Amino acid sequence: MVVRNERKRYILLSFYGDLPDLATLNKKIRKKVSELKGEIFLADSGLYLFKHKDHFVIRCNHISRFTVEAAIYSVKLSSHVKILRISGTIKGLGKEFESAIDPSDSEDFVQFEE
Amino acid sequence: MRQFISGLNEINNPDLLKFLNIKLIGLHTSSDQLPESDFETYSELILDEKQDKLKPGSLKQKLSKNRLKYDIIVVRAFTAKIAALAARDGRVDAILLSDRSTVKVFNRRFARRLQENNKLIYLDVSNFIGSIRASTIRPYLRILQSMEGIPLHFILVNYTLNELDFRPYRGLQSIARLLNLSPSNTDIQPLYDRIQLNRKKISGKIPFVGIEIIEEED
Repeated sequence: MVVRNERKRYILLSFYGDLPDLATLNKKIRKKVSELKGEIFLADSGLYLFKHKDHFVIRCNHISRFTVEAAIYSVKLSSHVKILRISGTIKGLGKEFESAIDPSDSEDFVQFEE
Repeated sequence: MRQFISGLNEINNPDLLKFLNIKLIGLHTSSDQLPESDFETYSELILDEKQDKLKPGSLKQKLSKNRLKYDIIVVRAFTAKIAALAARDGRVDAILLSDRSTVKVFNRRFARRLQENNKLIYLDVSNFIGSIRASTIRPYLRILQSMEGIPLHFILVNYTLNELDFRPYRGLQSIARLLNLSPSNTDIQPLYDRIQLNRKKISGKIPFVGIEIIEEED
């Protein structure tokens, strides 16, 4: 029987200014997490970034959530970033908006994982 | 939760501050020169020991000269003498810690003195934005570890000239978690209470400690 020891967290981001490139943002956040806690922590965090319409969503596990949050706020970008909402499900993120966020339906869905 | 930013000279970009959900802004001007705006503003003075070339006598002079002009007075000390004077003096509201602070001065004994005198601690986390070096983080960790167990109020500040480095207070709290500071330690309610108290003292509504004038009879 497969047992999950970790729970997922979805972090919804919002930007003020130009939207950054998905690949660049992913690289910077992963690098920052690695800088803060090391490569093994990064590997264990289950971190990946995807995009839906104008919003970026980061998925990680509940253990690494605070470190990922700190990494988001300490990374230097060409625009300002803010965390709008954190939820245990993707559907939970969509409650603030008219349409629920379901990455599999979106044409913009890009699963970016190194 | 009120979001707060400190260290501005003026409000240049209100849309950005609204995006960051900032409601309370500390400005480096005197109380009578605070601009009118949609944000709550307060006046703040930072006395830096090295920049202002402070000695115990000159610090006392500056405090007596400026106390009635500013809502919050912060002292950035590097030597034990100035730090001890700032911790004891009732005219100082907060002590500023940065990466250049040392554990020789800011240790457990100093933390107890701050707690007895009900001082706030401003913690400058601007070095955590961008590239982080272990040599920059180490002074913070050593100081905070030595102060562990003593209930203190930390206020997180981000003294930076670059607007791109502005962060919401929640973001600074998430960075402070890396230093083992929980959000309850870094709440800004004590700062807000201190501003209200100082304004009452400056306006004469609190003439002596423990006495507040609520209504004046004509």
